[in-house]
Amino acid sequence: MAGNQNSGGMRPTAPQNNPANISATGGAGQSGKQPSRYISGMPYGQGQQLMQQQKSAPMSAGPASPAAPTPTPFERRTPSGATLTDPLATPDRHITAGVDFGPGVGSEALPSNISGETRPTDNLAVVKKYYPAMLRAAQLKDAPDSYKRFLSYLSGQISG
Amino acid sequence: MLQIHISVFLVTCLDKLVDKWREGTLYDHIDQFANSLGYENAAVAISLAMIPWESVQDRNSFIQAITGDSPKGNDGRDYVSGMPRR
Repeated sequence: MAGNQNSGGMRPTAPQNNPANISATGGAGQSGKQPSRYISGMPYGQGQQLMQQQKSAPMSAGPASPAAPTPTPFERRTPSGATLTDPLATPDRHITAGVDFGPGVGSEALPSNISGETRPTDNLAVVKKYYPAMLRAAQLKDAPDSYKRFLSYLSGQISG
Repeated sequence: MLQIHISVFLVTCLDKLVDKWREGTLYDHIDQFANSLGYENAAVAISLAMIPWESVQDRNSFIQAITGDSPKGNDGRDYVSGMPRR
């Protein structure tokens, strides 16, 4: 018999028969109704009967959910509903209170179990990990002097 | 042996691609954060630099918010832009 032996017929492995390929949001069509779907494996004649039943009483599609725009880091909300740039709940305390830069009290205001002596060790571990890559970047054309000064400081920290 | 050759080739190609200091790269972020927060906060600066900032403007706004001052670093030079300005 001439012709391609793979042509024709129902293939269970075809993409249209893979349940994973069905749109989770009910994407087929714009009619607002669910499309009719042929159900295979029924006795002779019943498949066609089911198709006609589906066409005569179409099910309505679920409401379409519009894609929400991706928020920027400053628009993302915390579990409490606040964003990064919202006014502070405690306006008398600056956002950098408790750290050693910016306005407000420094780390001396933290409880003793937080402001332990582990930070310099942790800092050095982080610096040592990334120093080789940062050093290569310092050799790039136009690397700013401020960056080179910072690496010079880190070099002193590592060797000292 | 072949893997070593391929790795060396890829590293060489990468070096060719990033042979210029670019704004908005990890190293630019490190420069800005380290010089804005202070060298003694190097680990914090490196950690903040690893945040995938959507733009230089976003990053600078953040630095402005936590330091109360405009970002420092870069020595004010005008360099090749690697990120969109918004």
